[in-house]
Amino acid sequence: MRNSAKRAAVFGALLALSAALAVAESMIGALFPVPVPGVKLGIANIVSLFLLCCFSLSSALTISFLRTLLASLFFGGLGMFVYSAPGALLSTLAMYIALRRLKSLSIAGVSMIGACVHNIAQVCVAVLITGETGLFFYGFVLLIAGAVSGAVTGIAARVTMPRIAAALNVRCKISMFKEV
Amino acid sequence: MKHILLKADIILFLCIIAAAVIGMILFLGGGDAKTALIRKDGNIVRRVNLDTDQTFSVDGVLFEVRGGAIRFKESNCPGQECVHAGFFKRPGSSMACLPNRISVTVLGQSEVDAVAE
Repeated sequence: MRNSAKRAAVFGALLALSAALAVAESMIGALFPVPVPGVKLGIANIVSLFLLCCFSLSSALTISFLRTLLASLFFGGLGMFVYSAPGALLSTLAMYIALRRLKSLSIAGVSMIGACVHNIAQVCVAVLITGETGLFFYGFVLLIAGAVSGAVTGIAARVTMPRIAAALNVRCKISMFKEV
Repeated sequence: MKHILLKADIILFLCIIAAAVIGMILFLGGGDAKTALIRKDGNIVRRVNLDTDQTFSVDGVLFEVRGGAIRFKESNCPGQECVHAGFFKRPGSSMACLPNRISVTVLGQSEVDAVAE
């Protein structure tokens, strides 16, 4: 984007959108508690997917980092930030690689990879914090949860991304409409 | 709608589920659990016999042992995720309360012997 004012406005709007999605998700979680800790839908990930498709890896990493920081300030404090930032950054990186290298996957598949990497990274952080290697067992549970939630989020992203692009008046570089 | 989920997506989905299920089967031991270990910051702070029903607290976290299983009964952490997780009884299963850096893991008989040595 040539115009830096527009750039700031678009990224600001996307950061606000992702933070709002994170808050909305925590409200859904409060209404329908899942008996499995750490399982969530990850709808804020729609914004990361959008940034990866329409802008760059660095913008997606920056926005997901800032979103994690905001969500930690809203809900959990700094401890939660340490716990969730590695997952957010690694999953964004994994989705970037999947988007570039695994051309046969649609957005839903890319999102599944992101969700699984995110969950595995969280388990690894938990093992590092507690020193309890038995928690790796929990990684298998979260792998299944990641496949399901990633698919749901990916389908939601596929449906909403063209509308976000239209609303912000940006044109996407890749490929998210590639299979249409 | 048919272009939203591609064949590769479905194959990926099934592979992840299969890998997770196989991993869980390999990870979880059989047999009866006898003991649970409570760790704080990675150090064992308490070894609990699961045959005896009891309630005890470790650093602001209340544990309950009932019918050979253990759960986080109350915790002072914000998310309460460890409490929602419920009871654990299979050897190999474990859960942590990250804000308190406290974890519990259920041991099978062979692991109990190994820890005792």
